[in-house]
Amino acid sequence: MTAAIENFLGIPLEKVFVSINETVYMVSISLIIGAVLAFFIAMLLMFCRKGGLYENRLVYGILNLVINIVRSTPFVVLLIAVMPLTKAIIGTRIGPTAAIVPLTIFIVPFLARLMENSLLDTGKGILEAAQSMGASVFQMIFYFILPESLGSLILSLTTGIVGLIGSSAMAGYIGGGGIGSLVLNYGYNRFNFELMYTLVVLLIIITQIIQSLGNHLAGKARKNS
Amino acid sequence: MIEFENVSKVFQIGTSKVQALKSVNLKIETGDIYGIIGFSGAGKSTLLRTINALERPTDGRVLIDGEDIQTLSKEKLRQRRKKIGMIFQQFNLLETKTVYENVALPLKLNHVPKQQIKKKVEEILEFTELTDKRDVYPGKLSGGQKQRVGIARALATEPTILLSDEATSALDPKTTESILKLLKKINRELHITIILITHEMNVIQSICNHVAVMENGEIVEKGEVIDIFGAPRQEITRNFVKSVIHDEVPERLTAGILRQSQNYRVLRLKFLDSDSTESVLAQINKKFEVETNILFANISEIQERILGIIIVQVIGSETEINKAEAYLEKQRVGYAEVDLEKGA
Repeated sequence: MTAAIENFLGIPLEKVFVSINETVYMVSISLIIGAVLAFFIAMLLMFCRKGGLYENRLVYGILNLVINIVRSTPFVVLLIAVMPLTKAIIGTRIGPTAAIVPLTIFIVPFLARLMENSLLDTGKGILEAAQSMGASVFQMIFYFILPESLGSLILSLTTGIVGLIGSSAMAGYIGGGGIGSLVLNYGYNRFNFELMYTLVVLLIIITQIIQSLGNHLAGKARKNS
Repeated sequence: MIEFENVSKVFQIGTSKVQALKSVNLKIETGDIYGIIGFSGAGKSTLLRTINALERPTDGRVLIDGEDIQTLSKEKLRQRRKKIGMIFQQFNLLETKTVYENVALPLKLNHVPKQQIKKKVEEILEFTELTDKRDVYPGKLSGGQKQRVGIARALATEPTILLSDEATSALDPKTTESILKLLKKINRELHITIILITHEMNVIQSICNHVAVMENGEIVEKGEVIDIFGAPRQEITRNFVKSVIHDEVPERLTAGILRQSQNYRVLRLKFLDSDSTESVLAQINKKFEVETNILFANISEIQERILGIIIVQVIGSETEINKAEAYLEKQRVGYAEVDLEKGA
């Protein structure tokens, strides 16, 4: 069985598993770091925005500008542009670990924007109710904003994961490893189209599963739907 | 007691300034159900929010039992707010929490032990008739039920003041009535001072004992509801009163009377808690050489008192009509002359 599959793909299965592993590693680490940072920034955006609870034009303006700059930089360019930083932090520019740096920088503003929109779903009314109950800022976040926007946040995260998987493939192009580099180096460059399309289908399936899981969890979190 | 002392509020919108409150002075006694009525944009919502400092006046003071709420530290203000419940037009419930969890939330914020929360919440759900909805999510509730949850949540911390921000404006008349009944019960049984804002005079009529009328950021008229209903002074107040007591003589009737050649005067009589309405008219007919013709009559109940308004055409000579008026005065019946050409 294994032999037949390996024969069809033209590479050892071992290589496929290693690359899946690398992709999961890159995506999950940058997602975790990115999500935490993005959530923090989204909070700041929500509180500081015009008409927000702690309106602060300067903070909002700066964050908004930085987000727009990073978001409008093509990922391939970003990958190369942050290389000196990657080298400084990780010690190398290639490999899955090195890819985490540009991936995180890419996903933070992306997720921050999505999460900001999710948080705004909570509505001013709920915040006003929270204030009238004498809730502290901490309580407001954890007892009101988070549970109310959880469903929407999960969908934002799902979109983020899907975006990350796509970008991680691009990271593969400059030596990041993962499924993307397998597709490019062993599939496309060697005219091994069986391998290339098999891996593309695999990516489609993974994306589908993640999206369905995200939708399911979001629905559960919303309760009333 | 809540006192507003020269409370003003200016909103800066872009480069223009909007004065939402203009030197408001108002005193709300403990135990009152005080209604503030006005059209949208009159400033009533802003005024209400100065009580729990969701809005801060740009000038003046708001005193609650003598304490200036604006000067409290952040922490003290948070504690103070817990004793001021608030309910909203859009309910503002957490959609992802059950009725029970929604009502328990303010107590959770105060780190009340679980057993105590359970006891308190169940007691409130009983009081607000929500026991059977305990584990339902707000999405499955009707507007009236949602507002009950809002009220239950506001009561959880045993407040002494309840602020109602257009709480019945999104509800149909029948549901409005049941919510108003609940508010009255809260006022009576839990001795909670209620300040409500509304644009519906029937809300004022059915539960308030005091009313203030707001227009363009100012209080243009205030007093006991029964007095305001009996003798509104401002144009806007008259219009609000008219929305529930439509004391206008029908136009067809007016036209007919205006064509009449005999001498007459049209009077608007006001009776308070009195069953002498008919006898007064009968006496006038008997004692003086006049004839009375009722053009309009209305009896309404306000604060469990009866307010009767009768518009009557008194036909006779000037001297006899004057005598009849003097008699009314002696009987302490409030009356005012009505100019039919201008309308009642």
